Amino acid sequence: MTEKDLPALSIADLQSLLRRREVSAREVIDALQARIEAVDQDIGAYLSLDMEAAAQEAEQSNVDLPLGGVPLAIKDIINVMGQPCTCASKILNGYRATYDATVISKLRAAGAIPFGKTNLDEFAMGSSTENSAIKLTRNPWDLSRVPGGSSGGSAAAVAADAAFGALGSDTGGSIRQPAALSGVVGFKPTYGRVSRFGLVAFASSLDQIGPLTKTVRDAALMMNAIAGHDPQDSTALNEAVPDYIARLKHDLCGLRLGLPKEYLIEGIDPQVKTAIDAAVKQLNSLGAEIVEVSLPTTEYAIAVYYIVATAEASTNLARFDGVRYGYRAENPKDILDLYGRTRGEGFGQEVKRRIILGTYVLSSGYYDAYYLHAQKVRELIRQDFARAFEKVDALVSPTSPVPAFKLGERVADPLQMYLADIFTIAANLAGICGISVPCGFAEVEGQRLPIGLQLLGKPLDEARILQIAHAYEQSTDWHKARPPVAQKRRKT
Amino acid sequence: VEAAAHALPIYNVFREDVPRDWLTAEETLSNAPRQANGLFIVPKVVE
Repeated sequence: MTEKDLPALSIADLQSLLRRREVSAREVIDALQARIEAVDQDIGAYLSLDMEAAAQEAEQSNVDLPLGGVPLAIKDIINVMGQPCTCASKILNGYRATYDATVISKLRAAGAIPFGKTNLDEFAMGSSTENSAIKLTRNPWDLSRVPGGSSGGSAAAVAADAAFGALGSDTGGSIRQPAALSGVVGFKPTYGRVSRFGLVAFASSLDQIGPLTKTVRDAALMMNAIAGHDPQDSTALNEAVPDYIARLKHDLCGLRLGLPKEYLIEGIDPQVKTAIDAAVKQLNSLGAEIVEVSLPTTEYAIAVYYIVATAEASTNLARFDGVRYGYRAENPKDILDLYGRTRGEGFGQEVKRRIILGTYVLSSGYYDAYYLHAQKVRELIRQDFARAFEKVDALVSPTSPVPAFKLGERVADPLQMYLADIFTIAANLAGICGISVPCGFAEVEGQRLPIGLQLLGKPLDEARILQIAHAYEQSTDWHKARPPVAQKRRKT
Repeated sequence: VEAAAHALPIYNVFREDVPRDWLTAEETLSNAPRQANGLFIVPKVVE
């Protein structure tokens, strides 16, 4: 098995090797570590690694558990006991988690090994990972481009075979958009399907944790481990969790897929449009019926999102005050100086922008005009989806209107950056589930850049979304393509 | 239109109020920028 390029394997393939005892969990950790050392200086996916602890856990791992001996990367906004949790912010400098998030306890119970923390936009606020206060992450397909965001480190690590799978969080597209731009699978569960306990909160009514993986089957495997009720999160739904793998074998005959006509906007890259058209044709040839649907409130989604999300962020981020954990400004002259300078020095520009915006829309005299109004439009957006799902089983669209953009290209213009999430944001407002799955490549300046197909499903209809994504994926070869950085080191 | 509080119909969630083990004082203070005698230390707030 030494010949085999272990880190290139999917979780499912890795597991069959582990279970046949053809490779040990310890050998897997060593191979992964070598791989990370070889590529992460180019990619910059990881903020911290704890390979020693991972090696020890591997020695004791039970490979017959559902994810036994599988190392997984964790977005550095989820608490893993004993490891840093920086949220890619200066303000959490020096913090070490004193407990495991529920998703981490569940992954551990399933035998997985959380070994490292991945880069993100500071507090998950961004679409390119460039808002990280710690470092840049590069797209494995073209090192001059962004990996997407905010879960850009997780997406890039999986794409570069520097992780078998990873956890991300999705508040407005932060799992699906980087998955699309980096050429991997990214799954956002229904709001409440996965516990948020231990996820550092950005926008509590929108945040949801989910997997980034090489295949849809791997996403289903991780969902089997992390989904379910949690008494420690009052918004975690108390509903039975199906076996997400069991449904994958079903075909698409009799399913109806909706194309939202409002999503075929100007500004979609022509190569993205061509890839999506081909994917829709493919889904049709697999037995699904394609119908046009309408989501008339689509154009308001970004405006609503940047009111609701910033309002929630402004209250959530008030906990970073320099008293109980993280960064504290030096020599404060009194307590107000301590709060003010700690936040002034500790938060980055985009985080401050959102706190200020959120404070404004919640302030007395403006609450009704902005926040309350936005919550009403949010309800209309939810109703739009509910009406569409009376006619169809799932919705199909691009994940992102464009392939990966250049590092630095959109930094100066926050509005341009916000538009990167135009197709993903409404799903968070409506609380529904969605996935991005690779569906082709754009050729830009001689480089191949991945394109993602988004499927959106009804609340708690994860199994069906995974089924459709799996059927599509298995009928194409897109998920088998590896970025140049992955080819480079295949010496053995 | 009713303003949405949440996207999904989740109402009050109750449980019995039973004590349980959670972080110790030591663990809770382990990340404090300044701490002493089992307390977080901040600049003086009273005259």
